[in-house]
Amino acid sequence: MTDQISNTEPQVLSMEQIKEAYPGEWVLIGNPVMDESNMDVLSGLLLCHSFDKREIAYLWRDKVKAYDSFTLIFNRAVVPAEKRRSILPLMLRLPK
Amino acid sequence: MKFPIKRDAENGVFLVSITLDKNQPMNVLLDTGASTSTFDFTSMVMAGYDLRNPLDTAQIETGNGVVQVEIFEIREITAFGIVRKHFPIQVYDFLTHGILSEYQGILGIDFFEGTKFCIDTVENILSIEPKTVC
Repeated sequence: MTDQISNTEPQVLSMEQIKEAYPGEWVLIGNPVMDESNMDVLSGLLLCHSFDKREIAYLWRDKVKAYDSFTLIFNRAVVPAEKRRSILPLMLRLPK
Repeated sequence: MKFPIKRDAENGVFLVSITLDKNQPMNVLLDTGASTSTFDFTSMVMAGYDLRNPLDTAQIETGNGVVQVEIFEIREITAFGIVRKHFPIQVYDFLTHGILSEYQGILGIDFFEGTKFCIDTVENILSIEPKTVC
């Protein structure tokens, strides 16, 4: 079930705080502050967190428009390696 | 132009940041072996795309067999100083296929069409020239 942080003003949390608080969950972050590579989130507004990525997407797709940008992160470190499936084997489009 | 790129510590793949529609950052994998760029269904929903009416469908070969994807058009995608408007992509539901990844898609070779680029795997730098390769 999605835990929406909507009753109070969203808090700015660091990435370390987010990873510690929500292991194995998807976390929606508003106005993320990114590192130099623009790949890793340093901090941001905690908007909601859930084990269900799709639920966040459907509940928040309109609400995130209120923010300059957003990102949805997943702390995959807590998922056992044998349960992770790479997205890489998406390869060639087959002829019709 | 030269751009630093990151490597995934676990499997060494290249990770890049793209921008969708001017303000939406996305982390994707760079896969020059992929003919077409592919994005996660849920990530596209979050980005505000209506995915009810695909332009087309296609079949792609994956490590887990052949799967069907739907074709949509991104309004604008930016990476490495290149801006592509009305860029066709494949949309694939990562969650349905058991893919738990924080990366939101794959940037395929189609994005680099008409450019000359080089990946330095020692310095982890992508150099790109916006010109047609002979």
